[in-house]
Amino acid sequence: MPPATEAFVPQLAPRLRLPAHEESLPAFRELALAWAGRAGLADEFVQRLDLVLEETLMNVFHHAYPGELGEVELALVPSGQGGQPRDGEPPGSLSVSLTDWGVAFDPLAPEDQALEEGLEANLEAGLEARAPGGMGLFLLRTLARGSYARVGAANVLTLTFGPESAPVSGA
Amino acid sequence: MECTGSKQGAFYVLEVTGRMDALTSQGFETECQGRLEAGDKRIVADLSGLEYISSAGLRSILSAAKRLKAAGGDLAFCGLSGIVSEVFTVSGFAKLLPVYATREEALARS
Repeated sequence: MPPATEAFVPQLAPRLRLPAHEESLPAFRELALAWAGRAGLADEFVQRLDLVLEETLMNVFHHAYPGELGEVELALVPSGQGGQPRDGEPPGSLSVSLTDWGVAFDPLAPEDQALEEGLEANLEAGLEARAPGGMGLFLLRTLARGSYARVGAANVLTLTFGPESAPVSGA
Repeated sequence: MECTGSKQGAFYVLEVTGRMDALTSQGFETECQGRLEAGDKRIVADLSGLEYISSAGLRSILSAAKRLKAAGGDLAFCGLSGIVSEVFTVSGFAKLLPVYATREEALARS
């Protein structure tokens, strides 16, 4: 029998790669929330992580691999040695990356400015005129702090959650 | 996500609890459709027990609201907090749909 304490230290995988379909959502979420718990992320940022992860993954599930089933990988981005925050990085923060090998797409910076402006206008549209699409990416861009890179044939989205990740709000 | 409801005067109050995400939120639209078919056109959704909502939840709400409005009814909300309130605000839904702080206020409207 190992010492009892060892049994209570969760061994969390540093990455998870699964088929890019909706059935994979709960497993990705469970791992991300476990990382967030270990990182000591405050509740408000855990909620934001939850939301941004779902919106990002749903976008990959539905658009990254037209006509085929690809894969998507969630990985923990290490925040310095020994799990301690890097210099300048506040405690209680978490960085993750999402990688897919599908159609090149930067969810943080829409190329189609007109589309984005249309979406902004759509926010003010009445019930009848309101179009339902595009809301997920809008929430993602509004609530996430991150960066995108096309690395070879991969889309790599890095997202950071924590005290510095609060978007500048007009409220 | 779970919905439990009761008739309160002119309104049907739907208490929504849990999570409205991509996997569950269709249930809200289905619930509203069921109430509409039962003759309840004015629905107040009490979201004080709702922990989470994503764009999938917003789509379900928008669809239900449009359907109720087309039938001459409406869909109002109360009890928003945390990420639910934040998502309603940044998405513009807080302006688009009637949102009240408390259930009492939602029921007091005409």
